Amino acid sequence: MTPTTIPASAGTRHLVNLALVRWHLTASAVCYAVSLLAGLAYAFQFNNLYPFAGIEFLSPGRVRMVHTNIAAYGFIANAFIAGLLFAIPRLTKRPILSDALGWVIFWAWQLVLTLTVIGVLAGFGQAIEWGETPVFVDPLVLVGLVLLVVNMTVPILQSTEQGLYVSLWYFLAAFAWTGLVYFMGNYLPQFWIPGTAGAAITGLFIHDLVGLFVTPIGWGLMYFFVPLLLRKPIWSHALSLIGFWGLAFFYPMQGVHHFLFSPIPMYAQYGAIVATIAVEIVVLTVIVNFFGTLHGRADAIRGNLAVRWFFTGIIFYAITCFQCAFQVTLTFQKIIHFTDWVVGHAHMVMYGVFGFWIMGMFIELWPRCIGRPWATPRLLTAHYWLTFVGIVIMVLDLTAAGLVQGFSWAGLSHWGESVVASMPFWWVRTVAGLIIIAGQGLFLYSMWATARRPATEPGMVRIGTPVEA
Amino acid sequence: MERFGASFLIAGIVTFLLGFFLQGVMPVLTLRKVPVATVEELVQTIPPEFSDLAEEYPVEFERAFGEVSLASLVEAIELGKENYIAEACWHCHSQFVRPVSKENIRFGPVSTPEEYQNLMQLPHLFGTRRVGPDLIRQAGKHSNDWHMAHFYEPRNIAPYSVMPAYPWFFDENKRPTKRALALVAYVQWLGSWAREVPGTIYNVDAMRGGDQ
Amino acid sequence: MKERSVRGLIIVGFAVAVLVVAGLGFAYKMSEFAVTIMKDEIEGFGAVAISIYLVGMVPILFFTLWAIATGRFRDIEHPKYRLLELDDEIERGGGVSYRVGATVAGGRGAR
Repeated sequence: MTPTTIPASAGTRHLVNLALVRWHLTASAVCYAVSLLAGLAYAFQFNNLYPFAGIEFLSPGRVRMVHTNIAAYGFIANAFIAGLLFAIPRLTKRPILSDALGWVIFWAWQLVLTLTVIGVLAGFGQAIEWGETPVFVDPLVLVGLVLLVVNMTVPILQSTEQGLYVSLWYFLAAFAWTGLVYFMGNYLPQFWIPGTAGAAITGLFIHDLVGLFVTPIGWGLMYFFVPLLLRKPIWSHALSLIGFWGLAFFYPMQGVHHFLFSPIPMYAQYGAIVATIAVEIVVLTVIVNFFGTLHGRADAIRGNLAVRWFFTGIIFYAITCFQCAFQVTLTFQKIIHFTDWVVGHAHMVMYGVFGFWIMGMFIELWPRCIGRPWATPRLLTAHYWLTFVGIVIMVLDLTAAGLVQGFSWAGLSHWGESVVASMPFWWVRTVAGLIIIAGQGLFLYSMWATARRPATEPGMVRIGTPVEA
Repeated sequence: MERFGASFLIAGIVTFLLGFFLQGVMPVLTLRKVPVATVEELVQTIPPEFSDLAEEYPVEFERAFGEVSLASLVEAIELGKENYIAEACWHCHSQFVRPVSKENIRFGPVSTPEEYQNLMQLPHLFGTRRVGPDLIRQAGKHSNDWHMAHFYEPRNIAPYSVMPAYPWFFDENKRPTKRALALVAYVQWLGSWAREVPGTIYNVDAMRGGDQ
Repeated sequence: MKERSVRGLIIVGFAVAVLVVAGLGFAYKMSEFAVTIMKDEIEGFGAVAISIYLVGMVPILFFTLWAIATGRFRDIEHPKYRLLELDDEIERGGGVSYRVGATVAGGRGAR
């Protein structure tokens, strides 16, 4: 790849290190592919067509851990780091503390991911959901996180801008929380706190990873990109800040809702339920703000692919959060807990919302990093539709499957009946997965084809440049 | 930007307090009433399934664990749990019985916090999804042979099953390795402290006929 | 002007809703926490999770008080316009160059 930015003359430094952004995006795309393939392989197990049957190191249980962990720490985390590397300097007019440190973090993070895959496949997975990274990788993760926080916080501290933009509030909060959350979830239930109390902490960890890492950074990036894409300020900064403080105070309370009706004391469970429903209001502030911003510019959904990704993501967000307020109640939990309903919900949040926003970011950032406009706009449109159709089918299918399973169990049918009844749903799920993967194949090809294009003038690709769609 | 510095200093101090709280105060809180049992303290009797295991696979058992004793039981269930985690069994099998959805009829007595206050539950294995049934009341519901055959190829026992086969728990003569024995011992130990009536009273699946 | 008042109403509505609903949940949880700590029962285990939350929340509380005290919310809508100005400034200034050690113009006093 040729250098695509104005070369920095002596004594100057690029505000944004686009090479770092590009490499994080590339790593994210690679992890994306790995995670999707692992998920596909695991889905095939449910059709009794597992491609690697009989191979110990590709046992389905282990491959599932690759799917979830590489999605969270590879695809999402790498893309988020790329977004932060781009957004923070442009919000503060200061570059990150050190480019060299940025490269160290980049390689350390890829080392973490490689070790995670190897460790998990070799049978060293940790029995903590979303924290399956083997115990010997955890210290490295923590060191990487601390370095990342230092590298990214310094420009915010140095900034002379008056008043922090909401994105920076979110980023700061995520920086403060992520390390603590990771430590809490990966160490306490593993080494010190057994049984029920440990489960309470694991529940906290599962939820905090979503709520205190993915959510604030995702919201922050959304609040950064959407106004720039629309060239229009967000609807209400005050409302976004209400959302921020609401998230800060009330999100960490609700972890136990992952283990309702478990031996964890009921008062903790009731508290978690109330807090979860309260947070739905906080989430609504984001949704209202998004639509308020979009108001009068809805044509952008058609004309600008990145806006379209963000828009679809927020629609899914509204649906998930609406669903969440119901499914967290004990009435729903009786039936849907332990079923595929929850799997569908998880896919809608992590992929349908944050995955889609990351796609929107990719559409914007990749041409900038590469210095060439997208080579294949029509493929990108096809990619959007395949992904959209795939995830909608998958979520509807898994939700329905969850109801079938839950009622089958409650009706005291033979266990096998719930499995047999799920078979068609699992087939549809596999097909939906194949549709999604076909779309992502187009996307990865587009990235590659764009990178191979002859270079155009740097700076030509400006944020908010519409992609033909 | 001293104001930022000051506020981060405050946050830093509080973070330190958090560390202290987590490591100092919290264990005291937790351990106040019910001490956390070590595995040795927990395992006081040998479940009949474990003795059966030694009778049914004498050569392999002898090679793997020696005599039937509390010590060898501890070794077996700890190794079993290790493999249970390595294969991520907990992704498809939960380990707690809820007081709803008639689970007490299907699986057995509802789980209580005391049951989990021991080092066999470090980390806990509550699980998040039930593709297969809950396992915390599994002791004695099936024979050891059933488990062995089921681990080797689940579909030979239950044709509808989507559970992966685990041929690598068995040697080239299809005899169980130490890992297979440990896993069966572990699964047969789960709930051995809470079986109300041995056998099939709580096993709805058995009452409904089928694969038993 | 009508749109402005509608916006203000929605914001205040949300602020109240967040405070009331989440505050109720908060109060409920904390009172239960206190009751459980006083009772000498096995249920104290669940208190662990809430204790972690409680301590983790304290820095956030400090942040809020500090943010209010330093006037971060005085001109609350300013940063959203600044975001677009900044983007223009950066793009105009040769795209992505940053002079090491230089004071950046357009900072303080931009409001």
